[in-house]
Amino acid sequence: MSGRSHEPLFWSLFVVGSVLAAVIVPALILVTSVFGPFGWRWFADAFTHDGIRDLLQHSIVRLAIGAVIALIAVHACHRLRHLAIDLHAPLPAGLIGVLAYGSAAAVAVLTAIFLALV
Amino acid sequence: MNRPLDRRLGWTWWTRNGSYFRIFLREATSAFILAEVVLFMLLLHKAGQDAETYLAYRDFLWHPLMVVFHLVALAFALWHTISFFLIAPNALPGQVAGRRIPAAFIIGQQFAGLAAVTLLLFLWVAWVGAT
Repeated sequence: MSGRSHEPLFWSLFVVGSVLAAVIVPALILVTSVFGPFGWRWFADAFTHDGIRDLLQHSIVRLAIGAVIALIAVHACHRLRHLAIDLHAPLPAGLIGVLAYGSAAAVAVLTAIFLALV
Repeated sequence: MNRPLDRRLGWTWWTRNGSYFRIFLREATSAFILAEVVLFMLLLHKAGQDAETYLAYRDFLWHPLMVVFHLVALAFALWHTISFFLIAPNALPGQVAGRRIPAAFIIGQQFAGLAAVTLLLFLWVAWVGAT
């Protein structure tokens, strides 16, 4: 292994992602997927087709959502990479890294595209 | 570079004792977080399509069995949040102007931040839904 590693870059993104995952994910799950089906009318109305378009109307909101989703994805994939290595997944460590960070990049890019198309 | 665990432990190290198992579960929370992020990403995708396609996906997301999954994911996400907040006093320098910051203060501040962000998000979405 060479002396240089990409670890510090991913680690700094990971730290920001950890905070965002801790602070935002519980509320995100409740708002998008729990309150509505439990029949809380305001939240159900916010996720009609017109409702979600209203939520995503401002470009600042779309930018914020894109950044938050990308960072949380990097955070989760970084941890899954370490977990896979610690569980001795029968794959080369390099491949696990490519799969993990590749998935995070895919989520980030797709989210940006989907937000641009709303 | 990542340091793999001692190979002699084998891959079942997390079944050895309670504290290993807690570490394993804590790390496994990231799988649920990633799953919820991907489900949300798909919701954004459907929002850009016609109403019928969007509602079909939303009804899948709100299906009772999926709600059970969301509640399990919520429990894991909260576990990640709480354990992350509780270890912060050990990770921070812990001293300002030569005085120790009480751990309870650091932890309390984080929960206050969590409550504030959650409340703001609820109010914003409820306001859009109500108007």
